[in-house]
Order: sequence, then structure tokens, then C-alpha cells
Amino acid sequence: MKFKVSADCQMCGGNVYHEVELEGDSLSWFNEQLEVAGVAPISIDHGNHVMVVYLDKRGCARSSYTYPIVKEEIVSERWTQIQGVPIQSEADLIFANWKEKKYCILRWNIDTSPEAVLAHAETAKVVSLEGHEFWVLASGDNRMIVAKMVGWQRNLFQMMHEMLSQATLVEPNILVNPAVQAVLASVASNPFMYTSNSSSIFADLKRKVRATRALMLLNGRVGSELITFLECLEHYDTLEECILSASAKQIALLVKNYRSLRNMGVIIVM
Amino acid sequence: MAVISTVGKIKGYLTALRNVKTLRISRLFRKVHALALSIGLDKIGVLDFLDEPRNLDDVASFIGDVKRLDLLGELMEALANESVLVMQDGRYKVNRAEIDKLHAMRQSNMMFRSLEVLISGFEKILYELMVDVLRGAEFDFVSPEVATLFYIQNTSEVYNLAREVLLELGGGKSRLKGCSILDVGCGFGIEPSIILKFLDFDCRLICADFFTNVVDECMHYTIETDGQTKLLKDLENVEFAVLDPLIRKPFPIPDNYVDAAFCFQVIHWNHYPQELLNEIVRTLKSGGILMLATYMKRKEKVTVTDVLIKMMGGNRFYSEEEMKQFFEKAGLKKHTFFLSNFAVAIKTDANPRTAIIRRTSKTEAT
Repeated sequence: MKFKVSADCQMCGGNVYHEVELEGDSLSWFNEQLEVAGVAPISIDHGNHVMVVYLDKRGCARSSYTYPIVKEEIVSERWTQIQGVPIQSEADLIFANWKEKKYCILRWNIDTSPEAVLAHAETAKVVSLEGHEFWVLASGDNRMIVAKMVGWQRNLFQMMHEMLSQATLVEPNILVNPAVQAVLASVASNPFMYTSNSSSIFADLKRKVRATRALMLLNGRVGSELITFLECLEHYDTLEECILSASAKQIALLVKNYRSLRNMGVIIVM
Repeated sequence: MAVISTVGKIKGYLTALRNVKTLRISRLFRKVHALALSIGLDKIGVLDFLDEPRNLDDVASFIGDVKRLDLLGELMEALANESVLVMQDGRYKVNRAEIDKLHAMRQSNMMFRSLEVLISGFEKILYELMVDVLRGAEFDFVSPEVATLFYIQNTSEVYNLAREVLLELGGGKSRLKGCSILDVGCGFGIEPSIILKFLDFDCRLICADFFTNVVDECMHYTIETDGQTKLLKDLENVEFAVLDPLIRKPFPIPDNYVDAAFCFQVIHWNHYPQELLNEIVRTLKSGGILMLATYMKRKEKVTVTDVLIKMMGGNRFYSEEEMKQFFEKAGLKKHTFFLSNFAVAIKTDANPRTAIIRRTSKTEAT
């Protein structure tokens, strides 16, 4: 879907006009935001700054703001590594906060230093360094950097980016939220399992989720690890607490099936 | 040539159905449902209780707090009609030999195997649902247990084969390709994917269901096309609509809009069959075709299949005569029935009724 965006850019100093095309999951997400909030943001790259415009249901700009990208300072700025909760990852993976210049490593079995990659993390992009390809995913201040593995196609980049965008909606700083990290690590570890069925999970992380008796019907039809996880939900106050006690495989199965489980009523969100 | 080709394909499908021993569909459906319900009764101890002859009130007292004595009566009578129970001086007694026979069929018959999810569902949890319904709880087909059952059941090979038979009966590719098709009761996505693949994606499909969670799941159903995996919602020729289950509001689809409507195993669930058909016909163009599948009874008496549907929040099945009346009232004068399970009808009325019948309460349901 194409949008004709006309809005004031404070940094350009006047009204600017763009045609922006959204499709696939980006469009779905945009529409979901419209449903929920009545407006939804579109970000437009202006080179040394980014303009974010909020559009309403008729495609009219309701508000806009800009933020600068100061490229010269990126390389020189020091990054601080922080220790997070141990989370399993089968991919080489870093989470970072661009504004705070902090990062945590979930797994990094690569010679290239994390900070060398982080220096390129001002926006979402594919970075080639020392013979490795790194996918830099960016949403708000959140950064997710994953070393591309053999067989990954570029469509997975878009999917992971969409997941990070969904995560950012509920957690502006993923460094402080291990459950969000665990879900994203699961996606990076099992990207081929990912479908957009997963996106609603982030909105429910802080909520109480319970399995219904319909779960009995899934016995023998989905992985026993998932059944065990769903049975355990009743012992936790929130979904994220349960996720933090789960295995990587359980999280992957949950993420993959989350939308369907909700739609069938196998789980209910309190 | 196209007609010969379509007839040939239908014969092929019927041969396939015969090979999997499902041609005696109605009788086998009843047997499957009799087994499912008897398993449900066994799980709550009623079958053991019926080793001695008991009357209806005895059974109701045994289950406890039964508010739907009418439904319990229908259940007992329908199981007696299937020889699972025998009547002795107005009292019911279990017929273990018949139940053993049904369990043996469960192992050997394709129809039983294809509906295994329903049978095992009664073993796992649906017996609790049955008790809840008898005690006055209301369920519909988005109750978690029922929705999950159908989520699994809808992928059954027999169902998929039957959907293709219905598409062939509706004229097959030669008639339906390039058409706009309304899929009423699209479910969780398997049905639209079968229609799209059958027609080589050459159609404009409106996937409609009565519940937002069902439509949401359908929108996110993945399908292979042009070597890519896509979501149904991302296909340009597929749209979605949420329908009012009580049919108080018109479908969000204009009059005379679609060339064909596909309604597979839906009408017996809805409590307003006439209004549902009226709405489908309103959206059909003149000359448009309705393809409908539902089990049509020979007689109007209550069967185990009716009872099973009621236990899960549905309405009931209809006789062929009742279906004819529904069709004619809806303006479908030309109609044909096949194998007591399929119906094809053409809209001949150039000026269809555009107003649906309004109701104010569920008690007026058919």
C-alpha cells in the first residue's frame, strides 16, 4: 500500500513530501497500530536524520518528530558490555541499546569484536566484516545483531526486523527485559520456524496467561515440550516469568504457535 | 468436453471415496458419533450404571444437576436407535456387544480413522463438555474445546476430498475459474487453501466466518504459491469478512456480488439456517451457484449426529425435504442433491430479496 506523506520536518526546515510503500508484515503491523491507537508511525530516512510521521486512518499526517543520526561520533564512542540473564541462543547474537551505548552478548563465537559491528549499528543494515555477514536490526533504541548463518535468505532479515519492532512496542529497552530477549533469541535460533503468528506474544508478556482444558485435545498433536510449558502456565503470574523458566525449544514452539493457541482458545489471556 | 471432464473427475472422487469405505457416509457418520457419545457416557460412568436397566430420571440423577433433560432424553433415544442402548420396559440398558463392534470399526474403517480426533476428543475432555451442556452450559463453535477440535478435524483427508467433490459438483475448474467466490464458514484456513489450489489461484475469494479469532487465524494461514510461502492475507485475490453468527446484520457484502458461494459443513451449526441461506443468496449474482455440504437425513427424527452437534453448541441436521424448503424460500429454485451430503443450487431470481429477516431473540431459531 502506498502512502503520500506530507509533513513538517524540523531539521529540513519545512514541509516535505514522500511516497512511502508498506507491504507484508510492515503493513500488517501498521494496520494493527491504527486499530489500536488510531494513528500509526512511518519513519523516513533523511540522510543525517530520521523523520517519524504519525498517520491516521485516512493517511493524513497527525504529528511528526525528527531525530538526528550523528555518524562521526559512532566509531569513537565507547560501548559498555553488561551481563544479562543467561539465555540460550543457537545463533551468534548481541542485544544493544543505541542511546545508552550498552550491549549484552547472548552468544558470540566469532573473531570479529562485537564493538566493531556495533559501530555500524546506527540503522538497520547488513554489514560485512572480516568475512562474516552480520544483520543489524534496529527499532527505536533497540539493536539486535545476529551473525548470518548458512542458508538464511534475506526474507528472514525482514521477519526478524518485524519481530524486533513488535518487541520495541512493549519494551523500549530490551536490555532490561530478559523475557523479550529470550523470545528474540528463539527467533534468531530458529528463524525458519518464524511466522507472523508470533507477533502478538510480546503484548502478552506481562499478562497472566492460562491454558484451558482444550489443551487436552492437543496431546500427541504438538510437541510434548509445548504441552508441558502450557501446563506450567498456571504456576506463574505472568507469561514472561514462565518463559524465563522454559527451555529454548519450549520458547520456540510457543512463539511459533502463539497466535493459533490464542485463536483456538487453548490459552486465554487474563 | 468440459462437462465430460467434470463428470469423469466426480466419478474419480466417488471411486476414491468408495475405496476408503466412506460412501455409506450417513450411516458411518452415525456410527462414529454413536461411538463418540458412548465413550463420553462411559467416561462419566453412565455405561456401567446402565448395566442394569434404568429410566431417564435415574440417569439424570446419576449425572446430577441435569437441566437439559430434553437433550438427555434425545441422547438416550438416539443411542437406542443405534443399538448402543436397548430399551426394556421403558428403561435403557447398555448393549456391550454393539459398543465392542463400534470399537472394532474404529480400528479398521477409514471414516472412523478420519474422525479419530472427535472420538479421542471424547476420551480426553469432551465428556466434560457433554456434562456441562447437560447441566445447562452453553457452548458455541468457538468454545476452546470445540474450536480446537475443528482446528484439527478440518485437516482430515475425508473432509478435504469432500471439499474437492463439492467444487467438482459446482462445475469444477471450467465453471469456477476466474469467478468471485464467497466461502461461508471458511474456518481456520485449510478450506480457502483447497479452493485456491483447486482453481490454480485463478479466482477472487472472500473468506468469511462468524468469529474474529477464526478469521484472524485464516488470515495468517500459510500457503505455497509461485514457490513462495505467503499468508492468505497477503494474497491480492483474497479478502476477508466477519459475519454475524446470529444473522441479525447483513453480511458485509453487497447484493449480487459473487459468482459462487461455498458453504461446507456449516449450516447445521448455525441456529438460523433460513436467514443464513437468504444472506448467501442475496450476495449471489443472478445465475450464481451455491455449493453446500451438510449431512441430509432421510427422516426428520433426532439422530446421534444431531445430539452430538447439540452437545457442541450447534443446531441440528436437516432432512432433504427441509433443505428443499430452505432453498426455495431463499429463492433457489434449481437445486440438486447428491449422496445425501452435497447440494448445488442456482440463483435464478434476478431480483433477490435484499432484506434479511430480523429477529430479536434466539428462541425464534429454527
